Amino acid sequence: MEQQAEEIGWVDQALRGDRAAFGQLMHRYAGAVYNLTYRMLGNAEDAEDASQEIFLRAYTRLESFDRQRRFSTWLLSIASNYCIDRLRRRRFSWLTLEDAAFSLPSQERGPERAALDHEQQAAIQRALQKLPEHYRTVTVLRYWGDLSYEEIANVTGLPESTIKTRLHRARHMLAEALGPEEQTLWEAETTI
Amino acid sequence: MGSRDNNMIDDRRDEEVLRRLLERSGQPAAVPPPPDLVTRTLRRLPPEPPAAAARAAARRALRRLVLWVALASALGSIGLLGIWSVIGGGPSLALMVGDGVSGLSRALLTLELLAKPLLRTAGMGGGLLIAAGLLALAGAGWVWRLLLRRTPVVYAERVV
Repeated sequence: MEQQAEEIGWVDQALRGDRAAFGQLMHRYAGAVYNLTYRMLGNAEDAEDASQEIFLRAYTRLESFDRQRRFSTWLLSIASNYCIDRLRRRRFSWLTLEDAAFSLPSQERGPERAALDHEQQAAIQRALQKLPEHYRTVTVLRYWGDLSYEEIANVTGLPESTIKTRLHRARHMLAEALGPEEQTLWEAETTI
Repeated sequence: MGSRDNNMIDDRRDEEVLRRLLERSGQPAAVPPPPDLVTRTLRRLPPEPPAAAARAAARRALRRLVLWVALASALGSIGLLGIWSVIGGGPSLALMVGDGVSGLSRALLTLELLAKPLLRTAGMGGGLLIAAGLLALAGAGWVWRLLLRRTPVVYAERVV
């Protein structure tokens, strides 16, 4: 409650043209926005660019912020809509050779733990990118954003029942996308 | 979308199993944002307060829309004037409003002359070829879109 009052104070100051107050809001939510964009878009460059665009949008739309809502919910709804739009636009942009090279699975191998970790993290990113945008959004908000069903419903503007259905399907898809070993484990543990 | 039966879904077990699968890869893990993200975004913020910035953005969007409409109108008039001059058979529109040397008359004449070769080609039996070409182009575009939709672009670099 105290945090919300503090944020509303910053919003008021920002509306009067105090950019430093908006900077405070950005400092508080840079991590949440960046993590959402990183998991949604799949790479650091796009995530950084998207995070900046999202904060710029939030600034120009600040007057429409409803004080009854939490600032984080409002900001994350802008972020998730922006990511979905960007993913749709990406489908229609030309694939460059550089993109094609990125799309190849990493060939990094070796006994080093770091390399193994890198490979596992890359597998997670690849698996997430295989999910359709709307399923990816709810998955990222649930598992990486640690939001409840109700909070995800507020962010996406969808009923909780739809969130529940989408998450139910997204879990299956993600387990399948993680690889044959994970899929076998998933099936063994979820099928009685 | 299956929402009729979602109250029957008991996903606690699925939730636990997926969390265990993610944990095997050290997930969910937070990625630290670039340290200067806020500073650089602050530099890009418009100098005016949000309301004024929103109005300026709306004006820019309107200007863009007007530009596109003007461009589309120009292209449309090229086509219409060409059809008029090739098929219409009557006097040229450009010569009806002037002598074709200056002002609006000259602009219309230019548009007519630009459109004429295209329409003549279509009229001389090239129409079928043009239509076939356009159809092939649309088909290729559709296949390209389909392939892209089915190909997830995965970035394996700089993964955290």
